[in-house]
Amino acid sequence: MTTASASVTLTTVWINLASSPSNYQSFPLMSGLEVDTNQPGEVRTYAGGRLRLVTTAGVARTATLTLPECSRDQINWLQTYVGQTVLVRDDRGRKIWGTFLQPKVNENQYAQTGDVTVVINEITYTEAV
Amino acid sequence: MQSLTQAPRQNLTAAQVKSLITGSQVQITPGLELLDGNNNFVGDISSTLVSGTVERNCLAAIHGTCNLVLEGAVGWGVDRLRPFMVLSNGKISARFNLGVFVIQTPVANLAENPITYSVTGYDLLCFLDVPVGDTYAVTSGTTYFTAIQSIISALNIGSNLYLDGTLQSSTLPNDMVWALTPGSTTTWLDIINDLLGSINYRNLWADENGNFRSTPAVLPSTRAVEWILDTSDNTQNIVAPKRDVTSDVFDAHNWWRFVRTPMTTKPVEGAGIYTVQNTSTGRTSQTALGRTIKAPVQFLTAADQTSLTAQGNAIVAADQRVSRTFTISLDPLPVAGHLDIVQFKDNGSSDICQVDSWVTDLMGKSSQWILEAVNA
Repeated sequence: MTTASASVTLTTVWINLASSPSNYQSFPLMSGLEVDTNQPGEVRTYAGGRLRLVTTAGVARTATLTLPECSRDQINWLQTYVGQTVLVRDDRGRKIWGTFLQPKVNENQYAQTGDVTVVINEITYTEAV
Repeated sequence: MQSLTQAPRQNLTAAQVKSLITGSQVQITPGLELLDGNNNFVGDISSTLVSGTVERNCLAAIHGTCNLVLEGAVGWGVDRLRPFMVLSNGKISARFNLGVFVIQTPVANLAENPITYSVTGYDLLCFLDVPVGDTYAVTSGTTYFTAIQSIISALNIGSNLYLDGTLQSSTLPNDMVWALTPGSTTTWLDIINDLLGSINYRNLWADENGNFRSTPAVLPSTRAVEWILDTSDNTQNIVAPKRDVTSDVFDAHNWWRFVRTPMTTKPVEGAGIYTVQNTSTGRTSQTALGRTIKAPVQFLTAADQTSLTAQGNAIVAADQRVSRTFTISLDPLPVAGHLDIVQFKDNGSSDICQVDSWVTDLMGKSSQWILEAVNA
């Protein structure tokens, strides 16, 4: 048995639906991508003044996408799949399985387009079938 | 308290486990397992665990409870769950089992998708804390251990029974009968604890793996210290800043009388009666309070005068030590067990304390412990 591998270099952000990967949208006009990494935990203070770090498992990432001039199809697509599991890939090779709950659309006044902000919250997802 | 190096962390040294618990950096990962009716592993369902706590009130009838939020249903009232916690510092990790529980009271939150269940579980003593519903008798000549094992086997609980072997050959001098009477609420746990009490053993408890255990009752002040909580130790302290101490001398007894039952002759002092007076010791003595405050006479089921004396001394010690309790918040100390003895060093003072209750938050938050000073 042989296995083959291939790599693809993306020039923008692609969002694929996890339940149907061939269902996707790409956003060539992305103007902002902000990725936050969040390790739950805190530095605690104890009686006597001791300090130590207590964390819990699970580093969560969020990706905030700013997508100007989205077409009506793109906006409808995002609004259709709110709360669904998606795969987000960007032009830097990053890949996040996640979901978005509140896409924010700022409709453009003189066109059928809109500026969209989407916060992708990472979820633990297994690709194995 | 659990041994630091018992399974499932037997590959680590005690120093390594202690450093995991108290080190300058720790990562806490909660877990949950499904067990069968014999406490054997069925599956890991950690992915369904949203949050939860494990609590132990060592002075309650059923000591262990857990409060969990689960994404997914289990066999309510049947399936057994074993929460556990893994501590890691990036180099080594250790797992700590926190008890075996039967989930009794699921509350489903239908507003969420998937549905989450807020559930309360009780440790396996709950299988014994049910009414007998009949008259029950154990005949003289039966060993106490046999009588207790018979009950647990008959109820098909599937848990091992580990009793300290000191009095394994001790037999009942008389028949013991728990009669069915109007309003009778005698439980199997009552009967077992009566039998254990007769030979001055501690009330039955369930350990972190669901095994039933008991050992001879020993005054807490004479037991070995199992853990030191020292607020001035900047390398190991895990006690949060907020902590309270409560002193209470209200209605503190300084005279006690215990009478052995059953007796075939009239009990007298030294043979069926045991009287204790605290004339001058501590802040609740007759001298300190200026008067004698008598406790109600207590009739105790005892195999002999030695057992009566030992049970009486335990009650006296418990009565006397309620005068000081510490309420503290503690980071997870997942080796906590049943009626542990700790040394609490704080503000220049040092107290030997019995842990009356503790809470372990599975997500690692500081949780409340109540310590009762038992200084000799």
